[in-house]
Amino acid sequence: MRQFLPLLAIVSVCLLGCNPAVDSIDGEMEQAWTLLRGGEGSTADARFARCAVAAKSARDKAWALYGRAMVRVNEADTRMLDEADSFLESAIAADPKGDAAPWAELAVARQLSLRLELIREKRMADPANVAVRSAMEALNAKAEKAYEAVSEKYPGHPAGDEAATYQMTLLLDRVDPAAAGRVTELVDRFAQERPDSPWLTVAYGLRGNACTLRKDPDGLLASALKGLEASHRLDPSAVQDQSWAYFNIASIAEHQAGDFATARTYYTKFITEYPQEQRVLTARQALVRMDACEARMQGVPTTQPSAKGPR
Amino acid sequence: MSDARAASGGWVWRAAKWAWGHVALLLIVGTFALATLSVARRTFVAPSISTGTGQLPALPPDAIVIRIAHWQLEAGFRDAVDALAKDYREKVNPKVFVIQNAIPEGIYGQWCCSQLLGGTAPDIMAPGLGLQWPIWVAYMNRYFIPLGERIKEANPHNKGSDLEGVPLFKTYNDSMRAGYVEDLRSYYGVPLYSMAVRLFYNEDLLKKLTGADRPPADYREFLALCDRISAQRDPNGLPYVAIVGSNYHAGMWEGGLYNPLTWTAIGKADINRDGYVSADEFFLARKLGLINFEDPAIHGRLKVMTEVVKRFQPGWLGLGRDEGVFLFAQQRAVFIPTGTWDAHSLQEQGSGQFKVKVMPFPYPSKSDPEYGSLAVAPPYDRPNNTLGFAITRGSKHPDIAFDFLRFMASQKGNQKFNDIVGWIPAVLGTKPPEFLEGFKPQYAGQYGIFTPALGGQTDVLWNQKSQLLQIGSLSVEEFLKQYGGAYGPAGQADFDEMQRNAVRSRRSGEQYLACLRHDALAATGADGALARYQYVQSTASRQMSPVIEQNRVERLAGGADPAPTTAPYDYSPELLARVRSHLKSQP
Repeated sequence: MRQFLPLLAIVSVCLLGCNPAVDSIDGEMEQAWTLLRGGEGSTADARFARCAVAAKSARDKAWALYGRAMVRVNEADTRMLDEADSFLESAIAADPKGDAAPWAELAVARQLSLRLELIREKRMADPANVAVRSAMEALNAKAEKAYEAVSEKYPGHPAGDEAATYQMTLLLDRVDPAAAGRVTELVDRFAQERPDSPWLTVAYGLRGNACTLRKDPDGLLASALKGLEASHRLDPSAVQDQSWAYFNIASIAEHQAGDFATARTYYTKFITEYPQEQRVLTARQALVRMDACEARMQGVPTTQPSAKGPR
Repeated sequence: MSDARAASGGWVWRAAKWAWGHVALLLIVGTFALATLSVARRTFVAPSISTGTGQLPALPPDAIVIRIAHWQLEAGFRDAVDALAKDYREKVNPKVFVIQNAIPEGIYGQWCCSQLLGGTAPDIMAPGLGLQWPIWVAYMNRYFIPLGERIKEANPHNKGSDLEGVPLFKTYNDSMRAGYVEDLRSYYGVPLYSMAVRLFYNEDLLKKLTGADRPPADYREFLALCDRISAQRDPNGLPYVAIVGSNYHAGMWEGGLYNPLTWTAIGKADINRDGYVSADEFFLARKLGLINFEDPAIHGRLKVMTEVVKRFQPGWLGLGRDEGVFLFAQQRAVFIPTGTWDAHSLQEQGSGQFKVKVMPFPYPSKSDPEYGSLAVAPPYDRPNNTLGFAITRGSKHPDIAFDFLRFMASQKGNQKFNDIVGWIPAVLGTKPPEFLEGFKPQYAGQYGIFTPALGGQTDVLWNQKSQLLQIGSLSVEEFLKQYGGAYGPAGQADFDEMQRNAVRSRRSGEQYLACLRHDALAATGADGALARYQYVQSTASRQMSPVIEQNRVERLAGGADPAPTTAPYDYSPELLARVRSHLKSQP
């Protein structure tokens, strides 16, 4: 057996080498995020764990624990979600006033949404199950309150803005006109208080959905137009692609609001600014369709489409 | 003597005994020595070079070697890279030598895996083939360099052209979108060319067999020509084949001819009125009674398919790409559908024997007695730039590698590159080679609205039944009866699975968004603002809108919301009342 002692010694050295001391928390943490991005969760978790142990500041420790929680958020296993909850609580406790706290608190609320998705999957398998439906409703209400708490605790913070939009989403998830009414109020308040938040474009989209639930096509169109205006103002992309928004506004105006003038304007912008887009023929057909409809209403023969838009 | 032998034997015996006592140590030391030698050799000794063509250039001692890997074995591609490498050496940096690793498609994925994981990857690689896209995304994230701010710098090799001083991304005809990797929210690829699919034909054979000195103008004329071709026999008594068919080539007709014919039914199936009809949307439209398979657009699409495949050679379904090309090269077939990637190879096949030309897929004219009502406009056809080439993190000369790619992406460089390979350039101010004039894009055209497969069950159903339709075992009517009957339950199963997958995808998207959020918070300045805006949009499109959209679809499919009483593009009486009201309020 003596001859294997050197092997044992070398293996021991190798094992010790596998857990080297952390030289730079920032570098180590960055590598952990890179690993997580590349789908290597367990290796990332080990690095986050080393960072949490080696952290010299409360801030570093909070972010490392937050990272450990994020490794677990994808799991369908509720035990992993429990672990994530526990890491998030530890992160908040480690540095309650630090810059990780708002994100950790938002993540705690997100955890409720993720659990809601797990129940939603069960409901799909058994739509008539009343108990599952009730559990969903209860969890929806709990998550909505959690988002509201984060948005109120961190006004003007990106995590607060994100929580506010998640709250609106959950209200819409109830498919209830009264809840939808609350969404329009929340969005209007958000627009006043956070006019430069990048979440504003999303909020207007949600407002549009609320108007659909409330059978308010004019409100839907107004929300879409405000969303476009916010996007023009807030999108810092070198090349803004508004093709989707133009077509969407035109389609709402044509088919839901009955506002052919607005529809014509945006179909025309779509065709002119995005001539290579696949839906150009569909937009042209819409112009012809509206011309024909208007002509019929005005008693004009419809053999030739009127020249109100590009062909 | 015997004492000496004994002494010698004793020494060997002692050494052997010592070795046995330290066998583990010796094994470990030996392994470490080998590994050290291998690493040292890779680090300090010039790498052995093998090119795609097997030529080993004699390199000067101060040569800077840039290795580039791709799977383009088609004629002309390697010549084009070599020519641009020579130009780069002569005009930009005399020390740079570009060596190609041209890897066959079948093993490209595995080859890339082993090179990237083993740390021996070339400086430049073409990502995208041979592995599933999520794996490529993970590899790009780990082993490739994001281009970042580099795309905003002007391409210095455009000096003297009308693109001088223009940021690199703006020199592309698609603003370099093809090089952008959505999942990583960053540009990784430098695109060099576009790809499109069209119909190639043997001009000489067409004239010899039909007397036609121009390609057919429309679908009806095309069929007539095909029938005249099939009625004739070659000197060996074998019948000529009108269209090359194979399991590789048959699918090329889908986007070029069959599917665009369904566009006229868009007003019946585009439930959310966004201008597209997804597979699940079509399923829902059919379930709600807005459209059925007997619709002229669907029926016409299927009938046209049977008419085209009748002109393929017998037994085509069992043949592969090479057999199909062989038939064309032997001058036994007149038409072959394929992509620009084959253009140069086909030309070489015909070199000195016959002239290869290219044409759009034949489409019914508006006056076509059977399909005229389905052909409002030609099919939409926009060549798409490809992701192109990316730089690996292991590259010893990433700046030179990028500069070489930029050289190939300059207006002049891209023109020359594509002139040699015979493909469609990706950069503004360039033009496709004369041979590819038929590849002119067609915007404002028809596109498909019928995707037969929602998931596994409908995919199997479509493959089984459509093959029977294509080989003539089923008529269109019989097909519709069998396929339509089974589509309901199979589609419902796939639809339910899609809904479950959407929920799962939201759960799995959470971690992706956490990484994106981390990057957005870490980024500063203009990049930070952009990253934060993109994070917001990604979060909304992954975790917020889908919740609401899924509710809407589920309620519609489950009957909780009433089915629409008018087709999506038709105007209901309520809407017409609103239109009147708006018209009255206008001055």
